[in-house]
Amino acid sequence: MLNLLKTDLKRTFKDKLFLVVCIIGAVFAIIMPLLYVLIFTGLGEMEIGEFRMALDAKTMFFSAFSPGGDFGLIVPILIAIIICKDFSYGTVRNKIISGKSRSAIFMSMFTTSTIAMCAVVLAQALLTLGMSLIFFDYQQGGFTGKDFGYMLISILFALLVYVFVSALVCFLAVFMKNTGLAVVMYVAVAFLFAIVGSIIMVAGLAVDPENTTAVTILEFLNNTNVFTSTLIGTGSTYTFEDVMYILMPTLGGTAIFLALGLIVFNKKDLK
Amino acid sequence: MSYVLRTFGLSKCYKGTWALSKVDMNIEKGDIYGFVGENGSGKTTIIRLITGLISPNEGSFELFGADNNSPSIYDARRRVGAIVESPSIYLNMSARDNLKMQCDILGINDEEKIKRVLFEVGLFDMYANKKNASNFSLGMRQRLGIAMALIGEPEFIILDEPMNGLDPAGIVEIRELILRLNKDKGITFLISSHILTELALVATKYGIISKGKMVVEISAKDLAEQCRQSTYLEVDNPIKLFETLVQTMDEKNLVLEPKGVKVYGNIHLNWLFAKALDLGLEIQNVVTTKGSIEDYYLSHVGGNHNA
Repeated sequence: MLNLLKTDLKRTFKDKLFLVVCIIGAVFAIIMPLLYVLIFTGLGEMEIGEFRMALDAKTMFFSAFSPGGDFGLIVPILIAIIICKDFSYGTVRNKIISGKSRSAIFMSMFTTSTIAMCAVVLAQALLTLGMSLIFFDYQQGGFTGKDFGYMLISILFALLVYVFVSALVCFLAVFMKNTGLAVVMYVAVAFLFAIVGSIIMVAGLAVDPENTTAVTILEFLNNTNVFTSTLIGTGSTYTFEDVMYILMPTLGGTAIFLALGLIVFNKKDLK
Repeated sequence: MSYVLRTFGLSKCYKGTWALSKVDMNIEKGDIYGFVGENGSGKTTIIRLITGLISPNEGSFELFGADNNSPSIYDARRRVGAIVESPSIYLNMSARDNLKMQCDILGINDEEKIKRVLFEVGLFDMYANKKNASNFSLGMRQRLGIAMALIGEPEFIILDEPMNGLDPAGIVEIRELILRLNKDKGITFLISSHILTELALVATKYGIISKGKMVVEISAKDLAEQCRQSTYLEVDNPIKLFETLVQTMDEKNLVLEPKGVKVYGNIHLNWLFAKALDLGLEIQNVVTTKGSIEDYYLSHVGGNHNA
C-alpha cells in the first residue's frame, strides 16, 4: 500500500494538470478579494432582504473552502482527471499484474486524491485569507485567541468535506472507468446539491418563521448539505448539534462511497 | 514436473456469450509457450484472467502453485510481468519516469536496473531523454511496455502480441531478447501472436485456441515431427516394402499404412522408387507433403482464419 501511495502521490504532484490547478487557485485567491473591493467598497456588508453577507476576511477565507463555490467545483474535477489517468492509460493494470490488491489500489487512489484536494484547497484558502487581510479586517471586532481555536476546527471541518468529495470522486472514477463520464457525473451531483442548497436558502428566507415544521425541515436540509456547508466558519463557536450536522453527512457519506467504491472496483472487469 | 501455470476448465462469459469455455492449459517452467488463435478466439481473455484483470465465471487456475482464489495469488503475481493488449504506460511521462513509476510500485530503488532494462529493449538513448511517451512511435511504446514487464525481474512473462508495431529489426531484437532471457535466466514466456512463423522461431510449446476452446496443446518437438516432410508410396504389397526399408532406415521414420508406406525425412524419390521396383512391386500412387505450422494450425481450426 505504501509503495502504491508513493507512486500515486508522485505522479499526481508531477502532473502538469496539478500545476494548472495550483495556478487557477492562486489566480482565484488574488482576484476574488480584489473583485469584492472593486464592487462593494464602502458597503461593509451586502444586504439583500433578510440575507446579510459580511464582507470580511473570515467570510472570504471560509467561502474559499466551499465545494459548491468556484474553485471548490474546479478542484475535484481536475484531480479526478489526474486520478482517472490510471484508467485512461491502462496503467492500473500494471498495479494489478504486480500483485497489488484492488482494495489497496482503490485506497491509495482515495488517499492521494484526498491529500491533493486538501493541500490545494487549503493553500488557496490561506492565500485568499492573506489577500483579504490587505483590504478587510478578519472580522468585526478583530481576531482573538478564541477565534484561533474556532478557525482551526473550522479548517478541519472544511477539509473533512473534501474527504467526502474525494470519496465521491473515487467512487465515480471506478464506477465509470472513464474520465469524461466520471467528471460529468461529479459536476452533475455538485451542481444539483449546490442548486438545491440555494433553493433551500431562498425558501428559508421566504417561509413563515412561525411555521416551525417547515423551518426545522429547511434548516435540517440546509445544514446537512455537504456542498454548501453553511455551518462551517460562519459563527464563532460550534454547538454539539452543529458538529453532528457537519460530521454525520461528511463521515457517513465518505464511509458509504468508500464501501461502494471498494465493492465496485473489486468486482469490476478491467480491460 | 514444475508448472508455472495450470488452468482447470477456465470459462468466462460476457453478457451471455461464452468468450472462453472450459480451457485447460499447462505451462511448465522454462517453456516459451506460443499461444495461437484467430481474432476473438479468447487469447486475450485468458491473459486477462491470469493477470487478475477479470475474474472467471467457472473453473480456476494455479499460478506458481497458488490457487487464483487464495490470498497467495498476490505473491504469485509479483513473479509475473505482462503486456496485455497494448503497453500500459503513462503517456505524459518519459521512458525513464515510466520505469521509475513501475519500480516504485514494486518497491525497487535501482537506477542501474532502469538503464540496463532500457538497454536490453533497445531504448537506452531514451534514458536521459525527457520526451514524453505520447511522442513515441508504436514500436517504441511496445519496447517500453516490454521494459516495464522486465523491470521487476519476473520469472514468468506474458506478452500479448509483442511484435505489434515493431519494425523487422525490432522483431529480431525482441525475439533474441526472449530467447536470451529464456536461456540465461530460465524465464518462462507465454506469447500470443498472429505471426505464426515468428512464433515458430521461439516457441517450445504451442496452445491453439479457437472459438474460446483449447483445440490442442503440443510441444514444438512434436509439432515439428508432425510437420516434417513425408513421402507416401502406395504399392500392391506395402509390408514387403516396409520390411526392406526398415533394414536401411531408422524405423521411426517409417509408418506402415494399409495401402502403402509413409517415409519421413528428406529422401531421394529415385532411390525409393528403385527399392520398390527391385522388389517387383507395382507403384500405384506417390504423395509428397511438407507441413508447416500454418498448415497444422489450419488443419485444427478449420482454415479460413486470420491467425
